[in-house]
Amino acid sequence: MNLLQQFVTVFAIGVSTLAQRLGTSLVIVAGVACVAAVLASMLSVAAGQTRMYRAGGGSDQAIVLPKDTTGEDSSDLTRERVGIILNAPALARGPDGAPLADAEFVMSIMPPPGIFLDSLQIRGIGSNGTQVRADFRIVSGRMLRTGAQELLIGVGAAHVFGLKTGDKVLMPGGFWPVVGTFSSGGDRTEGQFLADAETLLSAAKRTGFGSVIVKLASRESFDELHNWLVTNPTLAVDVERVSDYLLRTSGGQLVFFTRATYVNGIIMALGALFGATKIMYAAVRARTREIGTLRALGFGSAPVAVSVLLEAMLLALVGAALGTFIAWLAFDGRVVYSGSVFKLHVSLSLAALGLAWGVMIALLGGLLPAIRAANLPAAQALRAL
Amino acid sequence: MKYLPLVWAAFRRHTTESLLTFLVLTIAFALFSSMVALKATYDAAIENTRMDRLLVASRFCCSDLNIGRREEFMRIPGVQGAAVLQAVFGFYQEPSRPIGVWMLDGATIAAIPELRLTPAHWKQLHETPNGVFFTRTQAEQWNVKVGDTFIVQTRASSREDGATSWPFTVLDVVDDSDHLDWMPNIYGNYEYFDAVRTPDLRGKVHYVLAIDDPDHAQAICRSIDTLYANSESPTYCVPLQVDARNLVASVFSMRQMSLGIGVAGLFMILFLCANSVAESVRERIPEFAVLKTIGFGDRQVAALVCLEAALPAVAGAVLGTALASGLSSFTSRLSADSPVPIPPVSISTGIAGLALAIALVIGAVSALLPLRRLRSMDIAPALAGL
Repeated sequence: MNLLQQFVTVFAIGVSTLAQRLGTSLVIVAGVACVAAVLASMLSVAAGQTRMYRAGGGSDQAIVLPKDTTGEDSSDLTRERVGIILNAPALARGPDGAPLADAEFVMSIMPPPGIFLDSLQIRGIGSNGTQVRADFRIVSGRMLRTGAQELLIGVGAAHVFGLKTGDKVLMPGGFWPVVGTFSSGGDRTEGQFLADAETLLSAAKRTGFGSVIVKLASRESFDELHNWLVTNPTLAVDVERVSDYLLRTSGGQLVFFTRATYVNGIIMALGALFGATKIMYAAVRARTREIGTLRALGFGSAPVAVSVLLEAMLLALVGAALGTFIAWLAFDGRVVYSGSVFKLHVSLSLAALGLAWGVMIALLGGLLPAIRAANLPAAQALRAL
Repeated sequence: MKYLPLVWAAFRRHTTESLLTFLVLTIAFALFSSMVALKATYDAAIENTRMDRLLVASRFCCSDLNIGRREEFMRIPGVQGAAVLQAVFGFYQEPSRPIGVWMLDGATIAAIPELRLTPAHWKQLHETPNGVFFTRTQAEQWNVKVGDTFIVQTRASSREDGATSWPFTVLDVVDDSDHLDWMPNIYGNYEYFDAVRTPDLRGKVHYVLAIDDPDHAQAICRSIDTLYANSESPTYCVPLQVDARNLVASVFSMRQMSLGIGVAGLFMILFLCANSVAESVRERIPEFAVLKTIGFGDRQVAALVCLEAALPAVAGAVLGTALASGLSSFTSRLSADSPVPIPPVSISTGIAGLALAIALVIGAVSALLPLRRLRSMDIAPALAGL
């Protein structure tokens, strides 16, 4: 029997006896499942937020902000500066040849009674506000009317804040009705309200805009736009891809959360690793007679050692798949609020990460027991009969 | 005590595996205690924030309230003091080191005694207008001493002279204050700050009102918001404790996940413990048969198995909780640059007690199935090792 056949035979024998060691084997499955479930559920926050940043064309949209401002709530972009920005090259054009760019202004208002969350974000959009957002569509109600004091609410915001078409929100100058709900491909706008920019500026007693959102002619045209804008001394603006801007301005919590996830994951994985080592030692002990018989029949030590490692990996992979599946069932698609509204996302890459951690735990945890199994003298092992 | 040698012998049967089990228990209990402590810390930080302090801000962004409203607030029944709330937010040396300096005045110091600042401190701020006081914790964190110049950099200028740096002189290090996680615990002179900042921002502040009774908080807030509903700047009034709760709820923090992680850790332990005890009992059936033959009753055997199950769990809980306590400062350091930093975490005796109680429960649950097996054991075949 060649070496490969020996590997297959020894592994098959080991797997066939798993049912007799079901309780013991389940410890590895459960341990790795816990690690994978915690990793996947915690990282689903970062994955969901990142997906939201990139949704709705976040990487082929750019945002132009006044230099040194940190958000879109300033009103430092005068109409004259906006006019210059609209003449920039590398902008996508609409059917009428006009640049797809929209001067906008974001205003925060404190939450109305009954909403125990952060402030609400009201985004004032202009005539191109829906065109720069390729996936924009009205879900219920109707579109905003120019000049009217009314609001649209994103589907995410409606879900989290419990508001709907027909409700009213206290704004400067009185209550503004919500005239419809909209979706925009799962981007951050879905967690905000929309209003007519000029009406919002007037209500906030502002004259300038906070940002200009532009749609790039192509993803590659960003550099051209960037060079044109930042080298214009009269503009004094910064420009970033929308996805980069969102990651930079909202990434602090994301970084901490991801860091905490890996610290927790490592601690849990260490526990699962020691647990797997213990279980595989017990498995080798339970299989001593079997291993002794195989060695006496002429099987080499390498196939025995590898079979122990493969068995550990098999159990760990089952555990990782189970843990990720549980996390997917519990969290995937759940709408949450964390500064903005987004859906938790247990992605395929998170599943792959869980499996990779499972394999690492199995390899490291199974190593010493595998060496012990390989070094079992056949005569001594047979005495266990 | 008479069972201990038997338990020790059981432990020594497979020393490596017993040690590995103990290590898993220790790690899992360290994780569990840390997670419970983390949640308790968030909850305590909210609880410590006072209901008899009301934050009053502008309901709509981009316009703070006028400093002239202070006298109007003071006339509202139940309001005992009005503190201004303004700060220089920027960074120290590098953008990755964010910092804020709270700008206050004499009336603010009088209104909020938990600041632990006195009129003498205010006098010092008057004499050195760009002076600041550091609390002990902040002084240690930023490594400053009295007389140092401490420069806060801002991204955009908020100064009339266009500069982006605010140089301060450290006047003294003062006691840490309680209940003040909502503002930076470095204190500067509001009057100096207001005179230096750009004219369009001057006289614009938020307020913290000190009121007579926490039970009146919501009613006073309602009356303030109603009073200013039709004014130039409608107000948003919220008790600080409610605001802290909103802040923690507004970001997906470790608080939401902590219990889930802790429970996952316990689940791991339960499986491992139950398996270890079951395996140990299964391998030692003849030994238990001998014990029963020489007169051990069911209760004594049960006590022995329970002890064998509970001892490693209890030892793991003790060591794991101690480990979590040792690592607690690391937990808060992890979130230093987060928008909602974790307050200093500590493992209370309550958490240690909870870990011990859970260890005992896990020991008892792990022993259940093996005990059923031992109770229904047929002694004669068991003695023969069948």
